[in-house]
Amino acid sequence: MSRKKYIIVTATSMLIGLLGWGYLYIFHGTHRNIAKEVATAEFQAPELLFIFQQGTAESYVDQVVLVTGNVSSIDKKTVVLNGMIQIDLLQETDISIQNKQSIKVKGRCVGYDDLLEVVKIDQGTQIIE
Amino acid sequence: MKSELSVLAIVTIMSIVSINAQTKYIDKSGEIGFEASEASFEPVKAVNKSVTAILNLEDGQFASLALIKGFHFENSLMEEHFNENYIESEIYPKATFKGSLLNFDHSQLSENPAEIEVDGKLKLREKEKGVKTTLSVQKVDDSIIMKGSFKVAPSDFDIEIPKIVANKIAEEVIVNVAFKLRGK
Repeated sequence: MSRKKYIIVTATSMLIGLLGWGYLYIFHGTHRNIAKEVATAEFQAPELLFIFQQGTAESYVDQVVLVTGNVSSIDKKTVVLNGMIQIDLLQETDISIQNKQSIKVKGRCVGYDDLLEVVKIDQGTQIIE
Repeated sequence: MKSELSVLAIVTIMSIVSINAQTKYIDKSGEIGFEASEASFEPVKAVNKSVTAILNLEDGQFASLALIKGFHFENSLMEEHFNENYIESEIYPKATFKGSLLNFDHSQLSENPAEIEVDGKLKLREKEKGVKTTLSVQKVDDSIIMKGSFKVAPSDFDIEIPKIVANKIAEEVIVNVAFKLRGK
């Protein structure tokens, strides 16, 4: 095989590979891994609720945040802090989480629910320091 | 006498509060899924497992709220397009339903699912669409379980489907709901 032919074959196969990767990346891209993302802001539960109720929280929607608060209700996969922040956890809740316990959770802000008057967060993970 | 009266007043107020509290059944982690798939194309469907639903047992009034960002697609690009191009969730972050269960009598509920008609308005992108459908409603232990489905069209909410993908997205969107409400 001549050198020229070799370069053409290599370049073509690299191009095909790149296109294939690009196709998979765009059309079958993976979802964000919230648990591994670095939080952009940190709040106490009442603080975050206040920001959303003031209607100035657009910049936090879809952002990963850290929230600290007291557990006011706990379900299989859902924990509520101070009756203000509802967090859907990635894993079923750790049986060690107790009502009234203060915990810190990382998750993605989904938005403000004005029926329950809570801020909803999903893909949450408990942060143990 | 004065103190007896105030005790009576407190007891009365407390009982009113507790009656009110018991008449509202709430689900804060309800499920709404929708599907607009066309055969032989990639499924177009998403589910939101953090939907709020409130049912007033006294009068059958029902309200529900789903945050658009809470809908998850298998395909992340589809989820992005859904949020940015179709619903424009930054401008319209939620979908709501307000209505009532017709001829609803909570004392009739049992473990056997009853077919109950619900009539109300679905609001999305500030556009309202009347929805009338039948829900299966049953009472299991302390929970009221409601399940059902209905159809809507993207055009009901002024959602334009670009021609290039029009054949991949069904004109009718099937919406499935499932709630497990508990007394508050």
